[in-house]
Amino acid sequence: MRRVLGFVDDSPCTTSVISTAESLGRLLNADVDLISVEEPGHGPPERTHGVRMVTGDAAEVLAVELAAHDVAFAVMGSRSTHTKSEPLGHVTNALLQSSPVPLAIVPPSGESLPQQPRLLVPLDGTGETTTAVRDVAERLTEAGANIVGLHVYDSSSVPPFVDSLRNLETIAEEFAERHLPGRTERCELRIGDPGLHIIELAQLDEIDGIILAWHQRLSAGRAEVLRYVLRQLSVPILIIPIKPAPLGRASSPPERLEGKSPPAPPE
Amino acid sequence: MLVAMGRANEAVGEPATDSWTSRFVVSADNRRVVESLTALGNGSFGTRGLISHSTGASRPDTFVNGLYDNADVPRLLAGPVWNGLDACRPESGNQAPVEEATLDLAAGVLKSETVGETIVSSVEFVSLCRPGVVVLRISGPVDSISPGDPLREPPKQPGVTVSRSSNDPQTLTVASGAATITAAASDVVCDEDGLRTLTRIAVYTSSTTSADAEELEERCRERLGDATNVGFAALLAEHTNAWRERWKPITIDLDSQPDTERSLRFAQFHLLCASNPGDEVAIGARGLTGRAYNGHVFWDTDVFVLPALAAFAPTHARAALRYRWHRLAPAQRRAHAEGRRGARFPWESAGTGDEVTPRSGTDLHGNIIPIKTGQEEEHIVADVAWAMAAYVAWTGDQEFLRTTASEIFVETARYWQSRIEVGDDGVGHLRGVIGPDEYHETIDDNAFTNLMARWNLRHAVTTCEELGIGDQTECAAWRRSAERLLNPYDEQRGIHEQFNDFFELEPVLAGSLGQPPLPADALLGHERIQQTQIIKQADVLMLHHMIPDDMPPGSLESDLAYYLPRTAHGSSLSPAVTASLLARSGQTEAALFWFDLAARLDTDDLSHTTAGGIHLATMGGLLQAFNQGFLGVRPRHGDLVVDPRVPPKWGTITQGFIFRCTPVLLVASEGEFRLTSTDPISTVTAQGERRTGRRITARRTHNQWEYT
Repeated sequence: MRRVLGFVDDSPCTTSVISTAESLGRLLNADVDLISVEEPGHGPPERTHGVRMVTGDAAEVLAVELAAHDVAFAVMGSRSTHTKSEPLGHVTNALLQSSPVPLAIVPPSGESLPQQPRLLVPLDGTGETTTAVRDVAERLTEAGANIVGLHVYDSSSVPPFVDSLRNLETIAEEFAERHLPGRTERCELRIGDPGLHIIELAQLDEIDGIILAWHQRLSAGRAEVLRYVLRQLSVPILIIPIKPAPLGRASSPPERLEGKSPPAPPE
Repeated sequence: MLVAMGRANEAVGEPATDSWTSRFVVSADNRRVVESLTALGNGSFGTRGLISHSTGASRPDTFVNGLYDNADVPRLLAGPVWNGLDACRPESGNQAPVEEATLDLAAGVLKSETVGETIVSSVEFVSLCRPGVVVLRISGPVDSISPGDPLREPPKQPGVTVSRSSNDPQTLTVASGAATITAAASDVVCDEDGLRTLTRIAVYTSSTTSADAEELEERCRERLGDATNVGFAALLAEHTNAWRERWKPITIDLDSQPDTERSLRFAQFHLLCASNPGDEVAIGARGLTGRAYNGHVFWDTDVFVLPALAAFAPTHARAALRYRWHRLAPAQRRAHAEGRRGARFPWESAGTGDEVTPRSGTDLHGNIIPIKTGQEEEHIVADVAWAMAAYVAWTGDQEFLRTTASEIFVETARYWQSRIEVGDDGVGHLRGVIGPDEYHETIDDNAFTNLMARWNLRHAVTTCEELGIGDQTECAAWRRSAERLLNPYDEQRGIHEQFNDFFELEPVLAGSLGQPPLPADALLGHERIQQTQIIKQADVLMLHHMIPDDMPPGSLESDLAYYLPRTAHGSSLSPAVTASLLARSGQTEAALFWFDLAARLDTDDLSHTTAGGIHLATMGGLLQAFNQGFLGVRPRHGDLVVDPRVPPKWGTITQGFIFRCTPVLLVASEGEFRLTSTDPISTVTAQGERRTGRRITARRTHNQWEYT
């Protein structure tokens, strides 16, 4: 049996972490394993019933837990308040960048995943992002989750011959078929700032959670969308690590699965 | 190790040259695109290409021309699926098998081959000789092919019922309201020496009038029995012979440019698949190749497809026009309901001929945007009349002119006359319209709409006078209306103003947003784009394409110079017409760029929508750009204008077409052309020099053609 880990501490996120871990356990048919870290110099956390205690530096010991072969998912809390510009604490920050398994980040006093959640899956249209989320999306939809796809174009990626609004439906259907075949109840297309559109659609559509593929790089200028979404939303964010490309392909631009782009006309 | 074995696709033989074939490597991602590109049809019935099986995400639709469901915005009804198999996958080792689909344009068949350690091959076709009969033969190792049910339900459609009969052979019926499609199919499986050959024959019948279901089923079974008795080999032979006959008078040879040659043949092929010489044929924007645009008929058919068909398959063009003529009554009712006279054709048309344009859509900013084309894009009225005139000009079909086209000319002229508002200054206006540039809505005196309406009024007068029909008082009123309708030509600048106050808009060029082609409305938003001079596609420029003789001399070049930098080419209709006009103005390199773009629009899925069907108007536009743009061939007052501007790199071009019932062969190069025809034809050069004969040659001297 695979496990869903829930990292419990004394923060306001604890209740949401536990209930989200339980939801994911049900959806993924996995055991829930709640863990709390007793760090040297600190006392034990308030809640210990049903929680497995481990000792040591939190980032280090939890990294070891995440690396276990039977871990399917892990759930942890974000910072205790939305007002801070950095929504992630140092432990979460460290684990996000190294976790080999998907992590669900739960905001404080946020909502947990219901039994049959509506999940928003933003995709950038590259093969690597799609590959990252496809397996999780398939397993969750098989367990009853509903998925709304979202693709946000920038000014250079939007198809040139849209013709009319009518064609956006066709483009969206094909996008969904290529990236999450048979898994989406519908797919939405937007142009502009991905973070803004994720927030807007999540709120309009009463989304219960977001599935985001991510390169696990938090350096300056990276993960802007992730940070923005974490700051703005009170639903769990399921972050799926993008596996690194094989050696020799790392510098290649990610492959887009859609039709080709036209060349530039002559002067 | 490949296993040598007989292949189903060998039954057809190899085409003469590679440019008679279009090949596509199929993957899970492009599968639905290739299904559109390899769709087959005979105008009455269409099926998306490829075999659908469990390993691919297929969209295996079949369609019957003119059959729509009964939704508020009707959709082309998808019928039973005939080309599904439980499995057709060769043995594969470590690597996934490679599937390649080859459209044999000359023979009108689709051949496929999936190669792993063994090979599964197939051939399929929609019979050109037997309406509704479709045939598939597939061969490969016994354990690679599992036929399963020969008829399967189409993907779910709201409000559509599916029923299966229990009699043998089984039939499957798909119905919505009065529209019914019934199919019967039979499989013959032959296993020999480890090789399985499956031959599937299916027959489709349909009704739009709530026909007795049992009667349809019985008809299906009867025709299935007939086709089965004829057998695969004979069905294939008669079909391929019929296709080869089709090609004889209309072959395009461009030996030095095989890719271009293939693109042109591919376009001809799909126009022929979408049409036939029957009583009427509704040619939707995507034909019978996919569900996009719900199978609706737009101006795409009248303006882009029709002139190409008139030159290559005039009887097909006639059937497409009869689709409009048969829907004259609803167009008259609409005009009457709106307080006008005559007939107002719908911007989007389906089975009944009523307006079926949706009222709103969601844009890329998430805003719900009203779609006003159904209310305001009135130039469709003149486009329908223009298509009728184009057909008559190409064919000289006087019977059609008298019985059909003349009625359309009269009714559309009546519409315009009642639609034009005359101001205090005595000038006529058309207010609150949308032109071909759909970025700007509810505009006044759109150049395209005004000048096409003027052409329409004048043409109705001329036709009535020639045929001695109509009321002279009414004709005089049409003439007056035409002459006082505002002509937005700025003589000082030598250009047309696209609509009233267009020159006052923010002078933003399309290139400021990026490299066209680009969807400027998506980038700027629906409201913002209307404040700028950026346009979606040729609008004023369309006039130079459609009614060049009505345009002031020299205005093509000045309108091109003004409007091209403002054109975003956000429409798939834009590249081909742009190519045609650039070719006419002698800007060959730029013309070739847009021509090549139009040629690749579907095969490279540049619009990201080819999975929903191919763009027939782009195909028609491509053929027009070739014929009218580069070869300078068009009918005028009973003559054939020939004024080639062949790009040097094309070398010598040979093109067959049909002019006034006479097959004509044009051989043209940069410096000379030769026309040969079975009957004498009358030609005229751009300078007005006329020559009549069966063999006409000319040489270019000092940039002018002189007969030799």
